[in-house]
Amino acid sequence: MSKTRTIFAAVLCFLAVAGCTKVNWSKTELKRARAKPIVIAVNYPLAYFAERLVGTMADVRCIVPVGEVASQWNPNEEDVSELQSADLILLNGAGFASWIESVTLPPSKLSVTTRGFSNDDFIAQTGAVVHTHGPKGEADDANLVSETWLDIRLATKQIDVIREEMLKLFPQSRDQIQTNYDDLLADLEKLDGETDRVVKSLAANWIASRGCYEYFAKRYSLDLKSYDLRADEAVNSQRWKLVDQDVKERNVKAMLWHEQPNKEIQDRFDQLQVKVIVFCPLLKVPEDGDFLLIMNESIHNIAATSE
Amino acid sequence: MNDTLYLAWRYLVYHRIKSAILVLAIALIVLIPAVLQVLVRQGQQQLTSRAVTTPLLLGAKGSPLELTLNSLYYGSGVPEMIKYGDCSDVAYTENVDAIPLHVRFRSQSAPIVGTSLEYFDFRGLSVQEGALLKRLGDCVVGANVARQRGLSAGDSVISSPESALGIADEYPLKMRITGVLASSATPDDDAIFVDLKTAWVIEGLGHGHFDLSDERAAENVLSRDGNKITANASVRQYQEVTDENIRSFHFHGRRSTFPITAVLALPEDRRSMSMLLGDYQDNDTVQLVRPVEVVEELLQTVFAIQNLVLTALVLTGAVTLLLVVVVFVLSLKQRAREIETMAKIGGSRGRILGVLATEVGFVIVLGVGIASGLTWLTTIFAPQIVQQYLMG
Repeated sequence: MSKTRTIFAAVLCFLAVAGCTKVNWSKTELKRARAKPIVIAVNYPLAYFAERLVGTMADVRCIVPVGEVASQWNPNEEDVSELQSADLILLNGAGFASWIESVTLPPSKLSVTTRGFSNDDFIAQTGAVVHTHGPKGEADDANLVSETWLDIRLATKQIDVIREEMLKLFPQSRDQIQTNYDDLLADLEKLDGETDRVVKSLAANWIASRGCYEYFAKRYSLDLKSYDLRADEAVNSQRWKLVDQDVKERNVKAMLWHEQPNKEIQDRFDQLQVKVIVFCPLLKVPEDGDFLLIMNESIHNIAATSE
Repeated sequence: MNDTLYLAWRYLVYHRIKSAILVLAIALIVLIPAVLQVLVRQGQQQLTSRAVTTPLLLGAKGSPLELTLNSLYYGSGVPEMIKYGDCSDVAYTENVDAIPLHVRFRSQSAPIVGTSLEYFDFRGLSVQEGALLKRLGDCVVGANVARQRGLSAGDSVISSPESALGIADEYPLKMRITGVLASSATPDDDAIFVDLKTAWVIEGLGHGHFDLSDERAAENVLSRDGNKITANASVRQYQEVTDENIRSFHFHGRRSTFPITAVLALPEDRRSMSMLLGDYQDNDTVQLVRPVEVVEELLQTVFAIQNLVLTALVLTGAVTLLLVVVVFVLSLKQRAREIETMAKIGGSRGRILGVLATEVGFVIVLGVGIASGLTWLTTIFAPQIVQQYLMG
């Protein structure tokens, strides 16, 4: 009998102490325990960075299906459900994935990886249309260039944010995450140094098929102008006229393409003595390879041109 | 014994109107204070339980009661708005979670609660039919709203214009119902929940319209200055979010300045709570209140009124009881011949007194029985009654 009383008293004491230190309404207590946390990124580079940091500790996914261009993709209701069930949703910021504005996601699970950027880090789109309605403010249009990861220094800032979030998810794996972080940064530093060396060796003025290379150009101080050209579509004469004029005026020697252009376009640039360089901006989830491999391949393409 | 009961019962049945009035009088004497007590207790429980589970509430400086009633019970008084940036400030505080609330608009009489998905977890609300919010323009309806209006997932509701003349900025928005919440016997049963962004669309801060760089928009464009287009207010705006037009919805202005009515601040422990309270102690524009303290203050007022009412009822009951006694005494005088007859046919004094006492006993037992039954029924339906008539 006395033993039962002792146990009962101990339980009461425990409950009293627990009641004093922890508040019942804590939302943390409401979070459901899951075997493996789910981390979803809105583009492939973020998913790659996250996976490098946590390895198999989390189920890291990119919400955009393989083969789809992330900046043009829109989620269906199943995708929204998948996002809602995630433990962490990594957003790129800088106007990337404007569909976020029109779906319902839990703010506590959202992490904008560009939140550590200064205003000077962002690049405004040239020629973006904004509108107002009378006295109201300008529409919150996505008028920033979004492909921030192409500037490795900015990508590193994004990785810092991802590491911060991962440490919250896996506080017990701090050392492992730090080791992975150091490895990833070492890889990126190497990539950055190699890119700098290769780009400088080319010593040329550039044009690009898309505006997505703005951050890349800023990082390596490239004199680059973007044209909205499609690799598989004929370029109209007016656009050719502008390109011709630009090539002559700035003595352009190289052009970055998001994918290999068709023969007609390739021939025309050959005539202009502008070297076509395929540089994948990683807007799609790659079927083969990973971020580093593909970036190295692109750098290799630039290096091959300079040789 | 049986014959005593029989005679007493037959007397009451024969004088059924008089008996019914007496039973009713006794029932009311017991019922009114008891029901009042049950409803006040239930009201107190509902008010307190919701307040206890809501640690802190951030809102504009002003009446803490109005802020609490609007945020916790969706009362019709709308407190002054604060900025969404205030919610972000709370969310950035270490060990504190923040849930924004926008309780300004209604659909008929049901409040439209603009919030985030975390609210459903926080309040322990589950979906009985359908699913939670998926996109802009979606809503989930409380159990009572669905039952009263015959709504289910896939139907739609329209927000009501705030001003009768409809000259304000807000537009009626037709919202798609994605789910119906399971009943929680709280004010959530009577509400319609939307994403905060949807509340801002109703407010006129976000909208969808055709592309202003399109030729069709020429008549709505006031000026074009390079890449900047200024449109007039007559641009036709979509009043429903559909698969076709969802991409055209956008917001004007900075998100951090957009309005909300309150922030539910959820500190993880008492230390974080104390620190947060300290942070907002001298704030000039917003106040951080503990709903439980506000409700306790309100309840003290309610209890003071209840005590007055109960005193009045006890006095009324005592007077009624005296009248009942008078009725019985007068009735005895009227029944002198009947009592005399009972004695002449052999009824002992004790037996006659027994019959009369049994009659009084029947009246009291029936009155108290009816009162107890109705009080019991009130206890069962008290949550709904309080919800419907006192907090609605």
